[in-house]
Amino acid sequence: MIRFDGVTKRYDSGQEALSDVSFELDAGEMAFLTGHSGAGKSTLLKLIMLMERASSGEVWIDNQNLAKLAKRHVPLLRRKMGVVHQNHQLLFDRSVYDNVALPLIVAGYHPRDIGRRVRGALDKVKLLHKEKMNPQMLSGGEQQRIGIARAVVNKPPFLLADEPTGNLDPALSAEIMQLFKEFNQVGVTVLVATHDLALIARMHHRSLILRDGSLIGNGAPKQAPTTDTNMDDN
Amino acid sequence: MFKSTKTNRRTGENRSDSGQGINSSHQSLASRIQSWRSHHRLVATQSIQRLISTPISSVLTMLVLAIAITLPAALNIAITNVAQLTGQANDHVQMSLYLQNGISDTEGRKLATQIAGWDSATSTRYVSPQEAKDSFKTMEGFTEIIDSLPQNPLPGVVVVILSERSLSINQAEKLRKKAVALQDVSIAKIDLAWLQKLHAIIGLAQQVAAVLTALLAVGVVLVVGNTIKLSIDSRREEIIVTKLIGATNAFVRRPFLYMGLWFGIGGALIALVLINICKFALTNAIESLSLVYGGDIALAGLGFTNSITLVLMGAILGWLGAWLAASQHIRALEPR
Repeated sequence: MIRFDGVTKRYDSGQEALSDVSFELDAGEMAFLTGHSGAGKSTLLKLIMLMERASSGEVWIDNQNLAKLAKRHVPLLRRKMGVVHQNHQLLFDRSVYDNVALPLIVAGYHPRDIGRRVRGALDKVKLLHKEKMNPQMLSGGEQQRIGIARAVVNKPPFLLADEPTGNLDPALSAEIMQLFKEFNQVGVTVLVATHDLALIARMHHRSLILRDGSLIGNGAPKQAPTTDTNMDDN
Repeated sequence: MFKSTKTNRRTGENRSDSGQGINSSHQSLASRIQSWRSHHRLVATQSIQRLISTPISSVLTMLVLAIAITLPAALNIAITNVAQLTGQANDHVQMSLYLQNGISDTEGRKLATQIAGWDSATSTRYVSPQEAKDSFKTMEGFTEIIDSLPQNPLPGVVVVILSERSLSINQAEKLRKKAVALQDVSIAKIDLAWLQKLHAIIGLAQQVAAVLTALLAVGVVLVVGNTIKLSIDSRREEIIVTKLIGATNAFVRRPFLYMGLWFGIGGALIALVLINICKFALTNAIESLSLVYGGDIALAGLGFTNSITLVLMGAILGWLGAWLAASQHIRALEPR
């Protein structure tokens, strides 16, 4: 569950990135976060990841008020969410396998489980055969999929994505979105920030629309229609 | 894609559990401890590999540390050696009791036997006035003077070999007073002056060495701290990504602490080599000195226990330097 309660974020520069934003995303729900660039999408995601803290209002994750979360508990919160970044934030000094294994090592998984889970996640994004390569040698779409594998490898209850299809062509974008949809279908709460309106329109999911830091749209189909068949282009 | 019957090619395992979103990260304490230990092992070896991957800069840093460790260690060894030499000289601290005039040889010998029974005396020897006169006669130029005297002016002397190898001023004074209190004794002398000077010099040298040791220990901490800070700067991106994934500060700090530890141990080991090279180089010079003085002066080295202590100290200082740098700089590195 993700809940924003009258959240305002003002940066030190005086710029108000979010103004009085309120919404609630149920556990297991999938939604898009959209708006022009600079509307506050990234700021909203940063508040959830606790890369920033709200100036006023409350952000709740899983019945936990983030304003009251002690600094030492921040790592534990972050382990609950897989995050897919636009620039994928992969480390080029190690192999694909080691990149994907990082969240498991950080969370203290048993070494025995790590190999199994990493290969499972890589298999899911169809890059198992490239586990030994350096991510630098992969294409943009492949790097993004490695980023997704890393985000989901420890099976977090939340999956956040910031412009995950920003640099990809439409076919690859659709493929990535299909992956998110599949994670959502097994119970992961998914929030995807994107300005790819065409893609959103095809996905029939709820959309949160931001304009200049204010939430101006919060709705559309709460349940994905069952007639959604043309997405499956795998 | 989510067909649960699909098996993983590498592991051959059924992945029917894939994609369960919630409550999947429960782990037992035992399993956490084991993974914590395996992470320590991993980080320890990785940080060594990292040092080996930049051999020249690693060795240079360790050399700087080694020199900073060698200087005070060598100074302390030198002081220990000098103190040992003076210890040998102290083996026979003597007290001379000059007897009153008119004490007969029999009485003198009796007194010597009596004093030999003291706890503070190892042995005593009575030197009669005649013996004293004879020994003066053997000295160049004294024969005629002694012969020209109408009577023997020398008193009988009881020479006391003290059991204490070194005496403090207070001890010496107490003993002297005890001897003077004896009826037959007119003057008691313990020649402490040169010993006291030497002890004062050694004491001063020890203090200088202590100050130098402290300063250079701070130097080691700072050098390691600075090296670790540079290493943190060069791994900024990695630290931020790891934190974003949910790493604690302790997790991020760990490889740097190990790196500091290896620097400290490496520096101390090189210092051990340097110290032994110095000792080897000095051995010949010491041997010829020993010949001149006819004594058996052997140069004491560090020894096993002190060598272990030195490496341990290096390890602690390296770790401390890394900890100071890492706790300060890593806390400041937050994903933005």
